[in-house]
Amino acid sequence: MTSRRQFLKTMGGVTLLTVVPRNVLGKGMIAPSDELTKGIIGVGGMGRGHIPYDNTRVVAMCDVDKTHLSKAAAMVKEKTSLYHDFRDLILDKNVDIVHIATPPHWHGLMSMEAAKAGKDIFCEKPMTRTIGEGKRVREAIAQHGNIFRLNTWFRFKDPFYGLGTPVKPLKKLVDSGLLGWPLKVTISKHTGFDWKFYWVGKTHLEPQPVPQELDYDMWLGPAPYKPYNAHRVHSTFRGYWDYDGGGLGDMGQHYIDPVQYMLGKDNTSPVKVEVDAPQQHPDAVGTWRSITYTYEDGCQIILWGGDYGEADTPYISGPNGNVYKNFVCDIPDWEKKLADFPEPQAQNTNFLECVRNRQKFALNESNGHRSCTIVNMGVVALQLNRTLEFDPVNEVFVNDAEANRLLDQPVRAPWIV
Amino acid sequence: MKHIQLIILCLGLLIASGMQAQLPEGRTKATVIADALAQLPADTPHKYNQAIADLVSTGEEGLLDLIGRMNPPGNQSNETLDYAISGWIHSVANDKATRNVAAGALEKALNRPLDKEVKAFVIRQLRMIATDENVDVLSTFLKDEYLSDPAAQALVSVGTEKAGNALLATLTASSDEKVRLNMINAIGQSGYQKAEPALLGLLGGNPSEAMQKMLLNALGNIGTKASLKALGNAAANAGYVYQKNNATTAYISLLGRLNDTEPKLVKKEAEKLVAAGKKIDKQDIRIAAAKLLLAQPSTKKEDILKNAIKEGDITYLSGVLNSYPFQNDKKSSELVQATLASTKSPEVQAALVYWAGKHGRKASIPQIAGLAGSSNPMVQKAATLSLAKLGGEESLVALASLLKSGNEGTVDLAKDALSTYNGDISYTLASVFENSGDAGKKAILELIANRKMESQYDLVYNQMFGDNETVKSAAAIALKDVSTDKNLADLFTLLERSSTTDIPAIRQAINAALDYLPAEEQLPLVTGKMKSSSKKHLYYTALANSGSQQAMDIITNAYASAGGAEKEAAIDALTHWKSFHVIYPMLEIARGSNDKGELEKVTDALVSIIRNSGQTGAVKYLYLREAMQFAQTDKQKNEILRLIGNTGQYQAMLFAAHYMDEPALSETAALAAMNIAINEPSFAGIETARILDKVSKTLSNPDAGYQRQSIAKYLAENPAEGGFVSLFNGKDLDGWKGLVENPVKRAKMSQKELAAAQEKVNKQAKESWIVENGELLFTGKGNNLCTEKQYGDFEMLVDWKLYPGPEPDAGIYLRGTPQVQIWDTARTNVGAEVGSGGLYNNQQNPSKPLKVADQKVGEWNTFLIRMVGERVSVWLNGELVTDNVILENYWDRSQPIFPVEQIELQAHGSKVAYRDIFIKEIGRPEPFKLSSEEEKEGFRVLFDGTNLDQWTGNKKDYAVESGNIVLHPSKGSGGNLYTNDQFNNFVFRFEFMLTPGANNGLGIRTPLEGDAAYVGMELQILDNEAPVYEKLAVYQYHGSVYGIIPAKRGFLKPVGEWNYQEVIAEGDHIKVILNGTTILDGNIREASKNGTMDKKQHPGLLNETGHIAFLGHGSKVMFRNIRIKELK
Repeated sequence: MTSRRQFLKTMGGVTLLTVVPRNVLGKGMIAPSDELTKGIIGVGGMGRGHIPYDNTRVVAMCDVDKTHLSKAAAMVKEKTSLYHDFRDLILDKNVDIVHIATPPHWHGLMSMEAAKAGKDIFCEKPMTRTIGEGKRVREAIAQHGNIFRLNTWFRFKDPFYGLGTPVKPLKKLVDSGLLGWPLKVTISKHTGFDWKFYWVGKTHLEPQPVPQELDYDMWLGPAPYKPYNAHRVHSTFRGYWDYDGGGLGDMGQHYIDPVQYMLGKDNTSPVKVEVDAPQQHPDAVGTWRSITYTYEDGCQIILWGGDYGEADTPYISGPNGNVYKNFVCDIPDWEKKLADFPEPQAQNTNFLECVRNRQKFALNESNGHRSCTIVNMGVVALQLNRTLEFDPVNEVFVNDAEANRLLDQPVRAPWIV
Repeated sequence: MKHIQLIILCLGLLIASGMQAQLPEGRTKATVIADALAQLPADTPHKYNQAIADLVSTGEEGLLDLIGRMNPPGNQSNETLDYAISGWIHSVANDKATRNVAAGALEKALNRPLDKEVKAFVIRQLRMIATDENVDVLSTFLKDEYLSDPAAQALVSVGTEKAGNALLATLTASSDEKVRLNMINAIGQSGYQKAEPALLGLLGGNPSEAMQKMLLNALGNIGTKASLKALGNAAANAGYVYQKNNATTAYISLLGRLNDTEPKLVKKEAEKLVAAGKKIDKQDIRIAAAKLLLAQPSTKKEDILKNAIKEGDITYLSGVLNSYPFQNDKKSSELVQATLASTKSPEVQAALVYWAGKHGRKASIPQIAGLAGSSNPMVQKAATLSLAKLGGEESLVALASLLKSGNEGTVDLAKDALSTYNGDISYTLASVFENSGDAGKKAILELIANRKMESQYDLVYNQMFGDNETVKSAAAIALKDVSTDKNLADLFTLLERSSTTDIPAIRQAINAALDYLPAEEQLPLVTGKMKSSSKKHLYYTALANSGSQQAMDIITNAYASAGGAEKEAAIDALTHWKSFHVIYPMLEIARGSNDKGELEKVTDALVSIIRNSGQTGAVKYLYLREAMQFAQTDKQKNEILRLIGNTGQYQAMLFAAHYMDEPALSETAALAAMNIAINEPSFAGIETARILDKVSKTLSNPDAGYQRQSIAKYLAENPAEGGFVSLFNGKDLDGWKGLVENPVKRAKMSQKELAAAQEKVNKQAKESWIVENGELLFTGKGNNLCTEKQYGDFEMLVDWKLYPGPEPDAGIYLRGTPQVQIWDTARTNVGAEVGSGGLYNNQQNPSKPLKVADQKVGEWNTFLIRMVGERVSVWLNGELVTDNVILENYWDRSQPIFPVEQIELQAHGSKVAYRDIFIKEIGRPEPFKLSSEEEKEGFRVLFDGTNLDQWTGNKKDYAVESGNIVLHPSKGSGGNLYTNDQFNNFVFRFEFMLTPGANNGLGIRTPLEGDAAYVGMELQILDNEAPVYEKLAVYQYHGSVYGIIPAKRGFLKPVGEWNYQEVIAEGDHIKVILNGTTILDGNIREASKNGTMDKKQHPGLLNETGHIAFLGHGSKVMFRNIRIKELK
């Protein structure tokens, strides 16, 4: 039997050589035979947002909550396969790309399973809940040759959040060296970023009966079994360390990934993380005042929580100048000076094109893992409430056995991460 | 810097470990635990370290105590215990001695009868620090269906031989499927190889699907050669594709692990997989297998590469290329190069081109340059991107020559690639310009502009004279980026000759060129040129570039007198004015216009001027509100509301909220009001809560869910009562009255006299003060207008406007006293150039404002006035102009300012308007006074709610707030606050309020140094009803003479209410009366005769005299109404 995917492969080659049909269809349109398909795992609020993403057709959806699944099914006109077990969706021959829009404690496991099945992957942020899972996703994808896209996009498009500028001109400015080196990047309310501190957990959860529509055991998956309470799941799960890391988990990769790109740190990680925060509950995520990351060369990323930090802080500060919100730069004549420099290297930002020509997407399992590592370094440092040193080559904490036990957490049977 | 931080860190560790050695301050373990628990969760790292170090100092006994207090989930909250235990475990994880103590205690706890979920919690804690020594205890839970999972995971973290052995033993012994799954899972994660035979045995015994999966995975992770056959078969049965049981993956990971030790076996299997993958068209399997082969030294790698190229599957080929070890493999590199030159497959071309670009294969540039002309877009894109990455002259020439193509897509690719090219591209671009088509020429001009290539000015300029409109308009746009002052003469000529479409671009170029000159050189140059020109209006934007007043006058005069194109040019020039002053002529135009088209244009200009100005939020708000009157379209109104949301003004919030009822504006209005409210807690109150409630209901954008949560958080954290209230309803003088004399004279009038006089002036006031369009207008004749109510401490908001006239002057009287000054800064004869907002009548204290922040006469201004006590601060238009200055009593200079009086709007003979008057009263506690009985008895006040004059010690953490002494322990305990005087025998009365779990103490007869409980005497102050204090010794209850005589428990008011306490110390006799009940009545000499209850030395117990003190214990506590009577 010829699989749909195989059909695509053979036909794909032909269509690529035949220029006419695309022009007939007009710019941006793809011939039906050439259309890539996707299956979405996790169709809660976030996952349902994936239905219209890119020029792809939804052919399968999966959720452990029946209510979510039926809501999502109602949004799609064509016939769609509905699954309860995500592995069935991964096994579906009609699926080209697996979208993962579950809570973060599933991201690593599902990415790896999809990779093993030879599927390409479109995964929500944060990429993984632990640093160890990220390493293994990266390995699995290297082994099976899949194309992976992490779903945050500020490193290649859109002015991000309150900053008022896309990252490209910032990257150009940083690359030019006009600001000097090392640089300090401040991510705070004052530079335009909100850490969404309402993602905090409750410290006293009464056990409740599991609602009928939800398969709670499957929702927990690899995470430790704890008695059910509605606040653990669905729209409030970010407040629990077992599944995510609060506002830092939610927004961290959005805010930090472009910084890694800007600073040219895509293949490395900071060597130190310091936190200033109230003590964290072992289960429920709390708030924090600041998290400071330092790279080996002295570059720093400073996250200010809530209202902390100075109102007139520059977004980027270097020995020769500062850049503020809305791309205000205090270097005299910077625009003219900057014009002499080339634009930053082009990035592969068309995911479907990457899938077709087997090129890494601009934000992939490798640089995505590195920016997620920063989020997870913060998560571990917050949990332990202490300064941690990190070895960016071996990707382990230095001289801290307990921190290293949080690098990678054993998973519940029958799950494998 | 780094070193210093490291030293500080080490010092911190030393201090911390020093603390662990002994119990702090010689207290009992129960007290230490209770004190530490009261601190948790710790808010700062310092407190955290201290509280946890204290806990750790209690050792095994302490940890067991904590665990013993844990409740099963669903009962009472374990919050504080969770914090304490996890903090403890985190802090000892890296210290062998304390870690062992903690692990030992956790073990002991696990042997006790605890709730299973509590046990699971303890096991999860143990997982963080467990070592080989804890394996035995952990193993006992492996068979328990509920606990086997956390216990097995803890053993994975231990990861020793013994841990593995325990897992294996349980696997063999148990028949429970779930337990077995947990064991296999853990074995797979821990890599315990000795389990292989057992796992293989189970795999052969027809296991369930779930167990088969776990077994395959575990064997893939730990297996040896012995597992190859079983896993190979499983993978073959799965058809080498993904299945739920993961057979194929397990097999591949086993092969990967054996690749070094069993290369031959692996090679055979991997080759089989490559072939099988081809058969079923599963490229991911083939890539994984090829990776195994490529990692083997003896493989003929080139064959694999050749095959992949020959097959031409882009997925497989890319996979092979990604894992191919090209280092020092010249042959393979040459193969790629040769293939690039010969292959016809676009897939192969694309894969190889990307690879060469990524790996800097400059040798392939000629081939890639060739492919850059490919008709296949995928190949062409790969080639152009790779050429830009590879760089070098050859790549540059190849990319540039693509610009000559007639295909727009090709030109776009080349342009994008060239923009990233590192090096000078100007001459190469110039060299292909003539031979390029329209698209190419346009792209070149864009690149020239992008890099501001002044060297190519001539090329750009020359295009302005061609006939090709596409090229010409691209050149016009580029002109501003390449022009300098040297080109000005050219550009002026061009301006006169050009068609209207090119003029805006040329003007921009002229302005860019003018920027090379100082402002004072620009104006004569441009006016000189204008003189000889018949189209003067063409030069307005150039004039505007100088930003001078002279230029502004020329243009505004032109606007008033001219029409048509000239008028357009004038307004365009004004819109782009650099200084904010242009707002005045713009407003004048708007106010004088009825033409909708003109108003729309002017509104755009106003909004753009305000948006780009660096003015304060207050000033922006004032003018945005003006601009709103002229806005013609919903788009304009929405933009104004959006900007208003960034001004941070209370009045702006109300203004925006008003528009929530207009459907086309409601969303922006709601967002604006929300932005202002939630960023400014000081605006909280009834009105703000009402607005936010409406905002919540109005919002409907995609982020509305988040926004509603922010609003809920704000409302939870800030009061929904009080706040600013309106003093002026916009309709009539309700709440206001006329002025009768001054406060001193009024005080001397009888009620009747006053009432009669009041009635008379109220009539006059109605003539002098009128309400028009919601504004309160003083006509220029009459007397002050006064609030009916009197105010003490307050914050006041008011907008005011002076009208042009002979002597514009006004002011705001605070507490019936002149005045916060308002006047026209042009009146230099009376010194008005200092600006408004000063305390004009001050003689001893500053009377002039700190800076001039006035808007032009005829425009609105806004005041924020804060008066607390006798001090006043004034913000004029967002600038602080009076900084906490004493307002002197003008009516009787020998007296301080009146404590309360009316607020007055001054009448000073000139027309003034006010609007948006709001006031927020700031509560002011009455000083505590002795009752007449106490006064008679001879009591004296030690604290009356206003100051700590009679106290010494830590006056930083103990602060006076709203009439109370409040202890905010900033670090550690918060320290002690002592009376200045010493007391021997006395009756001491005071009130106190506790926070949950709070701990403090009342020291008596204590010296200023040392722990008062021992060097003097401490009467315990403690929320002993808090769960953390369950296990106190009796002599620790509230009121006890600490360590000596116990007090009766159970007479404290609930936390959050005030307690009244009386302490009588007379010789050796101590008596404590709490809320009317005597809770302690004893003799200290008697009680300590045969040793103290706490078995400790209390050398200061029998002190004759000493200070009275509040003894901080790290918790927030409040005190008030403190008085004392000395007994002779």
